[in-house]
Amino acid sequence: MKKEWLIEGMTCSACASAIKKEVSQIQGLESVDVNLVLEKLSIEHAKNVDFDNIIKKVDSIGYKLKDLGVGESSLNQVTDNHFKHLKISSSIILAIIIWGLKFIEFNNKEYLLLLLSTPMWIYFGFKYQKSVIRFLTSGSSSMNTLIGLGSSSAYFYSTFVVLFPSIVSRNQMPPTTYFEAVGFIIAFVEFGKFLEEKAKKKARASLDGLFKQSSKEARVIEDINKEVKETFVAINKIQKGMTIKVLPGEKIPVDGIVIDGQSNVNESLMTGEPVPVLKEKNSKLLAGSINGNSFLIFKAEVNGNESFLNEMISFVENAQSSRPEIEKLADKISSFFVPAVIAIAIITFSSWYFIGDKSLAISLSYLISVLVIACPCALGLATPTAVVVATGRASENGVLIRGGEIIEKASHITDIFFDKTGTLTEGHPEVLGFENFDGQIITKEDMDNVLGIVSYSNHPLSKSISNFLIKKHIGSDLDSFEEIEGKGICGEIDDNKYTVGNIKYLKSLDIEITKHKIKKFHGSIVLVAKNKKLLGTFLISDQIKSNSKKIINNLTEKYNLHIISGDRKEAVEFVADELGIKNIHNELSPFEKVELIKSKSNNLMVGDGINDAPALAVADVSIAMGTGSEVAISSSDVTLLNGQLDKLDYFLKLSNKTMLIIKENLFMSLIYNTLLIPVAAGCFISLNIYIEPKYASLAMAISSLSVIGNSLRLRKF
Amino acid sequence: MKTMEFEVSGMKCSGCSSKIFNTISEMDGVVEVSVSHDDNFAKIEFEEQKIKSLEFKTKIEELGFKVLKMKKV
Repeated sequence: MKKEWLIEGMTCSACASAIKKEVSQIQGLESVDVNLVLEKLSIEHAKNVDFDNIIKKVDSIGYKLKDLGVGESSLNQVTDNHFKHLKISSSIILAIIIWGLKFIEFNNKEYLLLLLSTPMWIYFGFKYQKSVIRFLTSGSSSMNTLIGLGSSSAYFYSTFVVLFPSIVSRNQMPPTTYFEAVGFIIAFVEFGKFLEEKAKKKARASLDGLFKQSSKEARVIEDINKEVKETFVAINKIQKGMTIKVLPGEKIPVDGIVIDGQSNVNESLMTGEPVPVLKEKNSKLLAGSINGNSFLIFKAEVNGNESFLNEMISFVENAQSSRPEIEKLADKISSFFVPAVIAIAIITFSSWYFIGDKSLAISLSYLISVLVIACPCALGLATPTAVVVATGRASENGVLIRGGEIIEKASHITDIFFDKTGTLTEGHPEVLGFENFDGQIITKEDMDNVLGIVSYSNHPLSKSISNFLIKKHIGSDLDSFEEIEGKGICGEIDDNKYTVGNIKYLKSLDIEITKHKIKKFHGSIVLVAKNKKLLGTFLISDQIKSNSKKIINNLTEKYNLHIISGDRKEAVEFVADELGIKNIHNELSPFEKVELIKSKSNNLMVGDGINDAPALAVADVSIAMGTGSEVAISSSDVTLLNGQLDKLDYFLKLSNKTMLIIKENLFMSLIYNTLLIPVAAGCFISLNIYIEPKYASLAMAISSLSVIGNSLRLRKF
Repeated sequence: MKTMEFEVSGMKCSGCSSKIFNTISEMDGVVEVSVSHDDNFAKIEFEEQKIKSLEFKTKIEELGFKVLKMKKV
């Protein structure tokens, strides 16, 4: 049995691991899974399990479990967002008030500042103080640890100064308070995180708008007393063996076998083949493929939610949740910086206490001021500000990026995998041209007649011929028409009989073909005959997108390029040769694509179809065409809205530039503070220069402004 | 005035043929309609200035049936 909940309060993969560990301790669970992206906890259990116990355990480590109610959750989300906004704005306003009050003289000023700073430190800064504790117990540190150390040092020292002024003066400790530092440190970092979340939400919202409603119901047919009854049944209630009918243009709802009807079904999103496949009695159907020109009645082979399509979707969900999160650059630097700062603080303390022979109190005060000054609050802004500007700029250019970590990953890419159909090619068959046979004269009237005939057929090859001819011809009215599925069509106009179809069909009508040379072609050949005499052929293939070659040329030097497809060898090789891509992988199933992607590290995949979704989900960086299937878009990190590859080049260049800016930001956020460490440590005390709060604030202000200003340079990209 | 006969597949019972009959009868330009589900055909007499035969095929297929053959009578 399965059970799922929504999890509230997760911020990173450390939270996800903690929850998984906690829940796994409970007896009777077969599997426990935490999905960070979807914010879901899923468990499988054999017998009755106490759900309240699970909820309590998760609550005890600081997270809340909520039931997956449809209407409810969207309302909760709205109020949660407002609350988050309110919290951030309050913290910033409080920080500004505390800072502003320093300039006003009034009685008991310091007590007021203490009063205001306490909620700042304990409420707004709660998660950072937790990080300090985690550091003290487990030794792991991140940017949050640094923030916690700095704000706590500032707060405790300042509180001590206010509450025990006699001890301070007796020991000649610097009587300075750093309350505004507490405010700024926390408010800046909160603001940075807020910016990051906002950028992510914006991308997600734009993507949700792209999704069309896919059919959630199927038309089930029952024979009751010779009367045929149709009922609509939800997909997850469809059972194996049910008889289902689909009309032209509808999505096949579940895997099955055809009982009645004949139709061309578009399986390109599943297999990559751009030309629809004829399905007739006993043919297999795949859920997710799109029915063509005729009705089909088929028997469901599996239950509604067990189709191959569902297998792929759950694979995608699992892949996304077990994806390792890259350690962000800011955290990497912090994990080195924290021990370094602590070491310097201890050295400072030791120097004053043991060597300089100063009192414990004074030595401690220098230690504290080192911790305060070394806390680079701009560090929390370094990455988010750059990410926000970069993703904003990208979306203005039609590239939707789901988060900052994708930019970091993109800068390390070595191998790029391109799906063929719909990514490098247009995704549907188009007429390349018409070739006359041996001096056959074809009149405009002939083509008008051919147009009339192909307009009568819904076959995709007929449609491509129709699109091709309609530019210069007008379809004639027909006297008769006949279509043989899988073979061709014929029609009569004013006693002239035209036949349009494949070689097999025309041969079966005794039309002379052998004396004509029909050359080999990687796409489809459609022959046209008039009154049993061959006129010529239409050459039809899935065209390569016009800018594909240019983009491949641009990328060849820097990256290893691959083409991967489920389509047949000749078609894939043709495209690869045309574009100059050396690594060719053809006739791959969706899961074979997964194995291929996994075999190369630092990979990027570009795709559009449902059959690409599993591979997109495991790729380090995944890019979906906005013109492709919803499943591919939702499995991907980046969406190219207009479905054009020129944006890929732009995205890669933008990522590299953004990483450069982030590194510059990190440097700037550290340098000002680092330069002031000697001052904080008391090196210049003989010159009566020590760290006054105004230096700390100044350092924070300058570094933050530099970081923001530097990030804004990305606006020009 | 033109009369065409369409070979319609997928009609199972009189309900299907009535559906086609009613829908086609309402189309502008149609003079006479007869539909037989036993023989799988629909015969339609219509004014060719007002409506084209392709529209009948499209409509019948929209209703869930298939037209693979048609001829002028």
